[in-house]
Amino acid sequence: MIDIPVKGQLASWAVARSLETISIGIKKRKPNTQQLFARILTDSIISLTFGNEIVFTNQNLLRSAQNGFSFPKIIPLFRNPMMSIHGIKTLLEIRKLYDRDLDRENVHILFSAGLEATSCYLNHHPHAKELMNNEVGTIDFYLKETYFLGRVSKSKNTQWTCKAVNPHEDSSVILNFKDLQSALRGTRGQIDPLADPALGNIQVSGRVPLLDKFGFVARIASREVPTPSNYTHAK
Amino acid sequence: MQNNSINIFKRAEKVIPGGIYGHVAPAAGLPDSFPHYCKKARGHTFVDVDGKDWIDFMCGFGTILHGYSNQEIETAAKVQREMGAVFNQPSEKMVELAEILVDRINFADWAVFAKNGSDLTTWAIRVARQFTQRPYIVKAKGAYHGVDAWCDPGMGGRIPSDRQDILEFEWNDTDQLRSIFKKYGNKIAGVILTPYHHPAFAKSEMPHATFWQEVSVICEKEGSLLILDDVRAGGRLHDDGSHRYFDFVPDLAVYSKALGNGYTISACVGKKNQKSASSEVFLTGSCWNDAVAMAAAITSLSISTREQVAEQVLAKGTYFCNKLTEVAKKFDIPLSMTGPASMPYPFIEDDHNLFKIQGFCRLCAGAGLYFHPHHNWFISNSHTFESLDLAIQKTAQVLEETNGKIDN
Repeated sequence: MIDIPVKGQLASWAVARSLETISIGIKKRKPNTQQLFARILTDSIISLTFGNEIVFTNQNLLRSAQNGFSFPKIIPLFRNPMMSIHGIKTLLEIRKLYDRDLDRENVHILFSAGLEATSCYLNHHPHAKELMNNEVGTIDFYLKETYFLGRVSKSKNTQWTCKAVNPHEDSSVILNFKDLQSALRGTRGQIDPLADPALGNIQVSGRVPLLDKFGFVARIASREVPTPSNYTHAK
Repeated sequence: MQNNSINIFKRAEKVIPGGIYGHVAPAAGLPDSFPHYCKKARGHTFVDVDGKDWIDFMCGFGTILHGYSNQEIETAAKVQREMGAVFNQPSEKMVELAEILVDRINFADWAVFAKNGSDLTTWAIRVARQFTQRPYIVKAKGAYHGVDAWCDPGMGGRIPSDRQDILEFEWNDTDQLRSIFKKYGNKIAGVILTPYHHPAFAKSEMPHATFWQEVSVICEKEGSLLILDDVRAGGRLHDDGSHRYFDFVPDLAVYSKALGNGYTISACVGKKNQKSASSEVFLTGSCWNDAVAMAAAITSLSISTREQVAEQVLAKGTYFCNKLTEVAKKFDIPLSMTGPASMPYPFIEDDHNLFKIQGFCRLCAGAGLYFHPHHNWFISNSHTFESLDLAIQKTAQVLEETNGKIDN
């Protein structure tokens, strides 16, 4: 089943997808971590676990992303208390990620979450859909030319999807971040598409117009999808 | 990247959004290889702010037809500048320039002036609306007609109504154009087209053999105006307008880039029967009556006629394009120069993602050749065959050094 957010649910859905993506990244480093699983239950409710134990309203999910905490719905927590506890522990782990020192792996995880949020917008935001209607291709992101950060791609008649591993296939366009700070600004939608290439903070090669459109949508997503308000790594 | 370019850009970024914007933004070219700022230019060369010499193939993105700092044009501008540029009233130069355009452009009965192409492409579609009392404008997909909301290639600052009266068809697909007219015929005010299709980031496409004849017939039959956007190509295909090169007659035509050889001016010309409608569409700008730019344009047009400049730049472009593709071929690079030879767009076969052309232009930039990977190039009449040979020689040298390896 494909989850399709209704009007007004897109930012919450992007948060949920990002949380799932981050949980996958954390699980790679800490195998005991419970992976989250985002799913739209109704027009106003999104679940973050496979058994629907941790369930948020759209608004509370946004609040949780911005403030680091908000209440999930209480009754579903008792469906499987152990799973609920593990899920909440994962959410707390995710919160800690934003407070940790900047390192390459953390940036990689946060970057993947940013790509996931952007692809939600690429697929579901009305203006973005119109803009990307006829586009297909593969956008690859690197740090310091060799460290693979992620890929967003779309073939004909499919949706935009993210991959966190390098499939070593042909890219349509490549964006390379000069350093961690630039990559972290990338996760926050703070890359200036005019100034940063000129200053050498990013290098772009390949089909530039595709990345321009992607960047435009990424900036829409970063304006609408909240991140923790004290998330200050890159400042 | 050179120090001065970066240092100036760092200052710019603090006080100018994006540092440099629009088609000259470093991000639109090769920011790691091209200079961000130019210090001076003469003829077909320029010097960047770090003192590097370049052989130029962009000519101020087409504004320079007779070479940078052309002495004859500079003298005419200087004479006028000493008398003044912008006054309470227009100068006689405005009338003189209008007379020259009406005299040399075979369908033109009147002319108006502004500063940039966009000023008058937008005005021209409004004249078409006024003349026909219809709302819709048809354009080719991917065609550039300026910075206004009905046509700009950007993404921000738009509302849906900006383009609700703009219809598009694929360049050269006259069947599609007919079907648009079939659906909206009595509501279409005009069709605005460039003389050939020159999108950025894509190959240029010439009109097919009967394209212009078919478009002209459709417009005439349907009572819509045919508007020629000759802003980019004007002066490089035919001295008296690109419609002469392709043998058709538009109703309105807009010129800018090469008109003043770097002095800021644009012009729109039209037929007698639209003169009244054109007077109804408000037109003005703070410095649009600038007599210096008009004096430069008068001299620029005079040089074009005297030296048959369009023919010259087409011949030089043909020579250059042939030599460049030959050199590339020696290194197994299937380079083709698309569009007219005086303003060719480079494309490498199977390089739809542009990595190879970017690599090629980056290599050549190292040798001081300003080859743009994403925009058509421009030949000026100050390019000599010797300078073109030098550029070819430098290209061969850098390809030799890398054994033809041009991937990024």
